[in-house]
Amino acid sequence: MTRCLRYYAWAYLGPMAGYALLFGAAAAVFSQLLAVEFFDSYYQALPIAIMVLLFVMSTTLSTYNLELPLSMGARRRDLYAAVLVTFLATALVCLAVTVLTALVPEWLGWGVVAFPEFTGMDSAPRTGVPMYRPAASWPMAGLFYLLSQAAGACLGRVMTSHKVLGVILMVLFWILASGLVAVVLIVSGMDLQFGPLVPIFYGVFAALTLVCALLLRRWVLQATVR
Amino acid sequence: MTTTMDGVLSARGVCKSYGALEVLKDLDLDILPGKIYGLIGRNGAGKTTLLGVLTAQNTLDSGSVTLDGEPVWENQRALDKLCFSRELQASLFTGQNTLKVRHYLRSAAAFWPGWDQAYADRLLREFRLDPKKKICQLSKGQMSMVTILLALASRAPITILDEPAAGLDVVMRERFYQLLLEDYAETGRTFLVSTHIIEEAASVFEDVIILDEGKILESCPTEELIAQFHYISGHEDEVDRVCRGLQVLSTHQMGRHKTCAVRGEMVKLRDAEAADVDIAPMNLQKVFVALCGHGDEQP
Repeated sequence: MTRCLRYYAWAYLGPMAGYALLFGAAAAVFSQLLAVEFFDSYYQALPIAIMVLLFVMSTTLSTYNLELPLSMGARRRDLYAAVLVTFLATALVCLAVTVLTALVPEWLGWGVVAFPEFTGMDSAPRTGVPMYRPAASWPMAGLFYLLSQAAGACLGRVMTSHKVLGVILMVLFWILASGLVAVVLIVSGMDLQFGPLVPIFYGVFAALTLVCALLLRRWVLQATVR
Repeated sequence: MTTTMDGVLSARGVCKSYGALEVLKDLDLDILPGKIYGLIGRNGAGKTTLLGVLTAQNTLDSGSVTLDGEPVWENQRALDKLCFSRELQASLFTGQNTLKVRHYLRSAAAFWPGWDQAYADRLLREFRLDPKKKICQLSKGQMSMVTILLALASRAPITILDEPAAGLDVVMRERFYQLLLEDYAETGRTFLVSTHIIEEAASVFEDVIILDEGKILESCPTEELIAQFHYISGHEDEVDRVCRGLQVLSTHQMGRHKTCAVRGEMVKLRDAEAADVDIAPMNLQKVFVALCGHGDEQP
């Protein structure tokens, strides 16, 4: 598995690191402008941007970044294990980036940032008081990042054999994901308590991630090179 | 053929279908160490599928593929000894192949344990390939050069090339055969080369494998195969007489003058030599056409 991990470290995580630097730079710029509502919105949307990027990148990981190693003598089970490790590592790093992105402006006194769409679901309503972010809600962002990657990889595999179906499923996924984010954003603006919803979201995301991981396992273990 | 000899890649009873289309039909094959094999077959004969199955890059429906008696599928020890350098594609899945040449080189260095970086660098310079170029920006010939480079620098004990000469000009094709022979003389490793440019490569192939409609039609030393095939031409009656007892593969007649492509040992042709007919040898390409033409070669 070492060879596969080494491969993904530069073929997948390398470009990701490049994008991360770009996001970091964007975050640094926007964080200075939090007082302006327009930039505040952009800053809040960074986790979504990360999610989109992870989704897109993971499709490449399950397509040509899967077939190339396979054509060079990698074992399928090693590739699958390496894919999972890579997804997990990426999700953890992205989670750390998200947390830092939210906390650093507060620490440095630039303003308060909330990511209600992921992390503030059981936080206090946005009534001007500093947002309360319970530690338990943070990993949800990580889980969502993991799900984005697993779903992206699965749809990438679908596209290798059924291009049209893959495109349709991708569009559907994005409609559903956007709808979910919109609902959460609307709901989080209301004076409601979301505590009970958090475990449900965890459960749904975890179940979806597991389903994607199992589907991916099945497809990777029978993958062929074209 | 025994499979206990070191370095023998064997396929037994291999079947592979794509939906209703049977591509490989109960196929048996042995690739012995230290030889250069040529794999020839018509378009759609199943060559690439066979090579993919032999190297576990493709699945099989039934049968087995072993290297030194061990299954190749998901066996790292076996996979480390195999290199199947495929034709590169300018487009992948949903778009162009934007991977750069250096991406392939770096991947090859990561996965093939015997990868020879110095040799790869030398070939890169000789082929004048820019490692920063994307695959989709390369010409067909340059893509073939990358394929050849990967195969040769892999130093894998069993190296397989699929259509390596496609798109190469005649000078580069000559250079490729020269490199292949140099490498073979130096390392003695096994090469299996699939090609449509048969006659040009015939002198390089020690053994030839002819695949037709998913089955191995012939697998034997090239010279031995060619020696069995001849053209017999002359007066119709005389040709018919000498062809008795020989396997007639095709006939061509103009008036009373008849030409038959026949298969038979030299001992069977002795009668023909004494008769008033012309006997001409065939080259590998003609042998291939005679065996796999299925009448398509007739005007």
